[in-house]
Amino acid sequence: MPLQCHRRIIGVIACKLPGARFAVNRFRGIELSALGSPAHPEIELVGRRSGANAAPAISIVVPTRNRAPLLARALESMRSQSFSSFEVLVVDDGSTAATKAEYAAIWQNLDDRFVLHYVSAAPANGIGPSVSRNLGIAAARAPIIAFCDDDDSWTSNAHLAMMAEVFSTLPPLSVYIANQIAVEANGAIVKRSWLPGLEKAVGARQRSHQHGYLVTCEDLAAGGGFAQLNILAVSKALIESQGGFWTRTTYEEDRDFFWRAVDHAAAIFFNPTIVAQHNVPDQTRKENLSSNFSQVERWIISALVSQHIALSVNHRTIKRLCTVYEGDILRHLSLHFSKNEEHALGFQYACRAIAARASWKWSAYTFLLAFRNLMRKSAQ
Amino acid sequence: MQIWWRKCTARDSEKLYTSAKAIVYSKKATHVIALIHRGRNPAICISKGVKLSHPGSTIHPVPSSFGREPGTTTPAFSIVVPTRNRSQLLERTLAGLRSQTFLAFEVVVIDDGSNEATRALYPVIWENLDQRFVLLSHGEADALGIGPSAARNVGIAAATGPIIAFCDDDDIWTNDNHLAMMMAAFSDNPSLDMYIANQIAVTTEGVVTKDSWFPGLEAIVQRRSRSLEHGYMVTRDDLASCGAFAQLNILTIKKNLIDSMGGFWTRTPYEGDRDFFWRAVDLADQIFFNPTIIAQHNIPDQTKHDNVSTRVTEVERWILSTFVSQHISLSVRHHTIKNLCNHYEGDILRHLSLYFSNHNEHDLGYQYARRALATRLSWKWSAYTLMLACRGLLRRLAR
Repeated sequence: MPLQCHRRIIGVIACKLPGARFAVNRFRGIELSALGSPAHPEIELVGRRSGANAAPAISIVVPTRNRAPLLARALESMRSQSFSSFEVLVVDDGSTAATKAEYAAIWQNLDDRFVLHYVSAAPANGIGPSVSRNLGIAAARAPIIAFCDDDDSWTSNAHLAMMAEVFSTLPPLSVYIANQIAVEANGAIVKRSWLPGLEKAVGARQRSHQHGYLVTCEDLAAGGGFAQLNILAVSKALIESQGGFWTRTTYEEDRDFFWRAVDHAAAIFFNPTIVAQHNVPDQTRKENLSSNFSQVERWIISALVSQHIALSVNHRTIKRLCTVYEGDILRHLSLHFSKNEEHALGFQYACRAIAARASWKWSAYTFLLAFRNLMRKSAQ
Repeated sequence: MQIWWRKCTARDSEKLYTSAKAIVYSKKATHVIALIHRGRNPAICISKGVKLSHPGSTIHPVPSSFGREPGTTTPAFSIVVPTRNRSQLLERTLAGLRSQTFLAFEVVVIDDGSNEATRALYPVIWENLDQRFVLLSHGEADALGIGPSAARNVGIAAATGPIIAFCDDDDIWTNDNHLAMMMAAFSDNPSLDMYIANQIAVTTEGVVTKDSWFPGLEAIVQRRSRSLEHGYMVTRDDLASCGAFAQLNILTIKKNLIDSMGGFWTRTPYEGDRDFFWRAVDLADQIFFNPTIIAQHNIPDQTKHDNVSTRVTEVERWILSTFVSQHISLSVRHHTIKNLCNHYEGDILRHLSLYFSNHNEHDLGYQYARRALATRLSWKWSAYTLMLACRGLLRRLAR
């Protein structure tokens, strides 16, 4: 078999998701290990046989870029799941040749459920995780899509088993939310439950299933937090109807995706069992690295994402939650500018905060700022 | 920076050619008017009087050392042209550039992941072009593009000229003296940071909707005396006061200014040019305005546009536009530009408010009316917002 056989372009994926119009080079994980040595027909046969298999129950989409060791940990946590009918779609977004070289070693321990996709012709800085995920979703064969980013991992081996059980017993289900803890770089647990508000709200209720509760959009909005992608599973049909990940921003795309998904969901299930661990980025280090401006930029992107969610969803409670959140960010910006002696901006963002989220206290504060600015002007 | 001229004889011309940074040709390119050298200190030296029998003549190695071949010659201008799957339009644009009377320029075309069919046509197009036209292919064929803003940044990084002009693949320069006039302005004032030319706007039916892109700016400068034959020095306050936003095809900027502002902002897919322009104006000290029409802006067919884009993308575009305005006003130092951007953002937010009210989404209409008020205060709009609030209350009571 010539080498080219291993690398097949499966063609243009016809899908409505943004960014999914172009070709992906598909590598069967098992084929990859044979890449260096072209004469391994039996290995290639194994790969091909798996391709003809029936569709799995769950597809897991894992975008990655230049993080081979972390990716290996994430994939290992999937391999040790007790439930076995799944496929993993790793979407490599233009990693370096050195990283790609490490994949062969990682795939030696993996079976043919693990499929590696290279984004063909990714630009130098990558197409970004949102577009990568949309591509992965387009190529997925299962009716249920779960996510796990390359820097996350599942700590419970029963995660997929519980997920599959719930999906099969509650048929109209379209969103499944599990739980995780948050751990700091020094190992301290900062959050024992990712969605404490939701857990408290449903605690008094009867379980709809032995693993958890059916919840509504209102419950989620009242709880406040959103489920990160590694504890989220969504039916493929739902993702296709809500349009996948918004690719306009490279920040908070998970929050945008979550609220638009639950807004469209026919039924939502919450399983309070801890299945994953979220590693909180080291804040002090992050602030040192990023300049003051990029922090401001991040905030205004966050405000933009909130507007996008509020304008896209139908549920009033979600709309309100997003405007409240946006109001918080704008207040934050106002305080930030005032602190940095940029008083005109401080006042402007105070006004914006009121427009998004009115309150007497904040109105009084804005008045005070206006008055102070007047005094400052007359003093000049 | 200073310019000095010197006469030279035929004997030292060969040496001068090989060390020249740029060559100035006569109108029909029959002979060289000047050679431009750059010394160690930021001085431009122009050698006058060198004759060349015809361009491309093998006696002098100059024309062949344009483009990417290793050599010491640097063009006076680099024209950055991003393109994607538009070979026909690109061909027309490049032909327009080729007919410029001033010849010491390079064109950096950045192909942003065009498909195989388009890329196959490039050799045919390049058959008619000389070595000043450089093609950079970015990404594999049919890749997801990096977008025009990022593509322009790639082009700017690859440009060798000290001055950058832009021309998108669907634009054409209609005046063959554009670069010549530009050269005159930059040689007259070597510390010039930015040069703005003028264009007309034409609909798809061929109707001229704007016979000048900057009627406001022209009214301002009319009272002044020309600082050069072709135009006027203007200030950033002049530009901001009339909201004169120069599209990229009539804009020319020093490369070091672009480098200091970090090039194009690549966060959003829309209005990268507006963001770029105002951030550049904020840093530019010397701006020249030439009211001569040198280009034609083809207004996209609005009816066709509305049919294609859905409601969501329209609203999305507006909120992205307010986002761009915020980015500009947070990035610039000058208050006049900040005010202009807030004003513009206020307009878009009012637009959104009216749009939502028209579509019976009264809560959103009221919310965006408040947002508009926060960015741009006016009595009239305050009254309108108050009216929306009252109506909203009445509606709630009626339910």
